[in-house]
Formats: sequence, C-alpha cells, structure tokens
Amino acid sequence: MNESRKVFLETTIMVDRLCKDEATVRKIKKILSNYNKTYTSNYARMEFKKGILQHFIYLHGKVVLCENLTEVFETTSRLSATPQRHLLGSILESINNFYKSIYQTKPSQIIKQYGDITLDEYLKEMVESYLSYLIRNSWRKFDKVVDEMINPMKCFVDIEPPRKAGRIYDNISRTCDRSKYKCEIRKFFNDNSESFSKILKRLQGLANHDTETINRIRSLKEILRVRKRDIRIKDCWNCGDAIMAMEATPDSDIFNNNQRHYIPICEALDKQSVGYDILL
Amino acid sequence: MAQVATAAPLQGREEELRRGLRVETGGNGSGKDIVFPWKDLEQLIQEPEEIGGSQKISPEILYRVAAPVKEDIETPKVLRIREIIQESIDCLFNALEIDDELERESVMNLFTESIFRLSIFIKVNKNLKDAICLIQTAVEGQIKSVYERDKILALKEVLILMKGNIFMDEGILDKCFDILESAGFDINAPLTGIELAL
Repeated sequence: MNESRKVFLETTIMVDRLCKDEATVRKIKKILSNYNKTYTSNYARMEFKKGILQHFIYLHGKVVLCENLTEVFETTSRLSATPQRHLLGSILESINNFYKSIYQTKPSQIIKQYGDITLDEYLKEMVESYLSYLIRNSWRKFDKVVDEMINPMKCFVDIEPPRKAGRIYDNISRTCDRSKYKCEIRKFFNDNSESFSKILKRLQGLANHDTETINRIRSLKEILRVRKRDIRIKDCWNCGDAIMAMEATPDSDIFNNNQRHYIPICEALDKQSVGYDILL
Repeated sequence: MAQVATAAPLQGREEELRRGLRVETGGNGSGKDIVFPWKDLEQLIQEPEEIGGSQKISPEILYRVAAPVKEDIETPKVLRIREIIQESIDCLFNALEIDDELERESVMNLFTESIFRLSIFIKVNKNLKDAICLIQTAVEGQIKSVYERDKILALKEVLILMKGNIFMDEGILDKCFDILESAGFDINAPLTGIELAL
C-alpha cells in the first residue's frame, strides 16, 4: 500500500456505502482498504440530501398517509414519468417483497394463532419502519463512514438533518438555496478556472454527449464566461461531478459509481477515477 | 349510616370477583368492563411455599396478576412481548454454549421463529416497531448463512436493550441500529439489487 494514498468518496459511493446491501459494502471496504485516508465533502452530502434521501422521505410520507401499500404504488405511478419515479417504484417494490417474504414464510401460522395483523398491515408497518431506518441512519452515519469531511467552498454550511413533524419526516431546507449563508462557489470556480476550463475542453471533445454532459457543458461555459456574476444554483448542480473532482486534493483518487462521467473529468485534471471495476 | 351505604356494594363486588364474573370498572374511568385474568380470588392468596421457596419469580408473573386498572390494560401485551424476547434471549444464551455447529444452528432456527412472533406487537410503540423491523431484517438476511459468535452476541445485546425498554426512545433505537450494523448484519438487504444512483 502506498503510504500517502487518499481517496475521495463521491456521492454515488456514499449512497452505496450507506444504503446498499452487505455485498456492495464489502466491495467498497475492499477498495478503501487500499488507501490510508478516506474523505468526502459537504457538497456530496448536499447531493445526498436533495437526491436519494428526498426519495426515501417522499415514500415514507406516502406510506404513513396511505391506507395500504397498493395506494402508495398507485400514487407514485401518477408522478411524471421520470427516472426518479422509476427509482421510487423500484425501492418500494424491493422493500415490499422483502417483508412479504418474511410474512408469508415465517410468522403466518403464529399470527393465525395469536394475532390480528393482516399481511397488508404488516407490510405497511414494516415498509414504514424500514424507510424510517434508512432516513435516520443514513444521515446519522454520513460523516462517520469516512475519516474526514471537507467543504472548501463553504457549501450549505447550515445543512440540517431531516426531522419528524408528527409522523412525517420534514427534509428541512432540502436544497442549498434555502441556506442562510452564502457559499463561496463563485470564488472556488474563479480560483480554479484553469482546471475547470480543461474539464470543459475535455467534455466538448467527447464523441457522444448524453443529456447530463450536455447540461454540464452548457453550465460550465456559462460559469466561466461571466466571472463576476453569482453562479445560478442549477448551473452549480449541473457541474456537480466536476466540482467534486476539483474538491478532491491532487494526491487523491476519486472513488465513484459513475465512471462514464468521471473518467473524462478526471483525465482532464490528471486525477484517477476509481470504480468497482478495479476489483475485476 | 354512610358506612352501611358503602359497605354493601363493596361486598357485592367482592362476591362477583370471587365468582370470576365480569365487573363494572366503576372508578377506573374507562367505562368498559374488564375481564380479570383470574377465576377466583383464592388464586391470589397462595402460601409462599406453594410458589416454591427456592424458585425465582419473574417480574412478568408478578405484574400479570396486578393489572386491573385502566393504565394497565396494555400491560399483558407488554408482558407478552417481554416473555417472547426473553425466550429469544434464552435461545441465544443456549446457542452461545453449544460447540456443535449443527446443534447451534438448530437453536438459532428456534430463535428465528421466536423473533418473528414479535410481528403481532408492531402496533404497541413506534420505536419498538422500528426495532422489531430492524431485528427481523437482520435475522432474515442471516437465514441462509451460519451465525458467527459476534452476531449472536450482538443479537443478545439488542434484545436485552429492547426487553428493558419496550417503550424505547430514539436513542435506544439508534443504539440497536449501531450494534447490529457493527456486528455485520446485512440491514440493507431489502434494497439488494436496486441501483440507487440517479
């Protein structure tokens, strides 16, 4: 092991580390064992809060308010047809199937004997509890699964954990535009404009551009064009991968589950993008 | 005169109790009848030697016979939860003393059945429900594996916490999460196979 090796955990890996099954966590730990320092940033935590955590909170609220899980499935299916809706459906189905299997194979006889809880009731209660666990625990553990948290551009310094408002979770100030403090993202871009320009050039040179890359190129151009103007929040978020790649110190690898986008960005910065494929 | 007026109904209630009949709760404010868990008051007045001088009496037994007031209507449920948890803990103590793997795993199968019996109590308390959900998730994820000693010890620790804190607060709940996670249980098994990245 190289003594000075550091690794930056990007948002997708933080999500996997906090919410995925044991086999995935084992893979992550194996990769991290090659480094002697792990760290992530408040920007990653901000993305976690407005991303997957918001999905869990939405689902939890629906499970609490709906009569049964069938209603929750129906409600989510009425959302706009986006990848987010697809993800909500997958999460709900996966958790539902897990507990359905428990009910149908384990305690049914016992429930007949002692109890009055139906499959519907059991599933609703278990799914609600499990989502509640995910919300509480993933937030609580965010900075505990790494050695250090960094925040070079003072992103969302007053970020808050989700709180219970009665039975429902409130993802207080979901996004950083509700922060009381102004971040220093403009300064961060200005201080590193040369590196961001390299990223822009590399992305423009790619043969194929997906929607995310198209948006990133457009936002980078806009941010680098007028350097005295505040950065619009949407432009900041579009550049998320580039920002996190820049946050990582030059001696760090960047561990992510989004190699398609990180490889060209890291190439531009002469940094190493590390994915699960390193284990193969 | 007043003494006569109050004494007569009391005698009547006592007589009904002796016969093991349903009685009006009267002063307990619930407005509903309560069925007392004993048939005859004589059952409550046993000589100490009948209980057995050398045998320990569990707290559950002591409380079971003293539950006729409104606040304690839920008590039998809590006692039942504690009993099931104790049965589960007993299984774990047994398992920890068994060297033979097959025998130990058989005891852990009994433990698993015992844990899933808690399902019927998920409406007693919100945090308890979350803890039951978590421990069932951990145990379900373990069914196709062999229990390591650390995992059995962790389960024991969590169940002892639960037993002592049926109406637990979030601090105890978090402690339960941490113990199970650090023992290596796959708590996120319900999300296996889902690509969570957006």
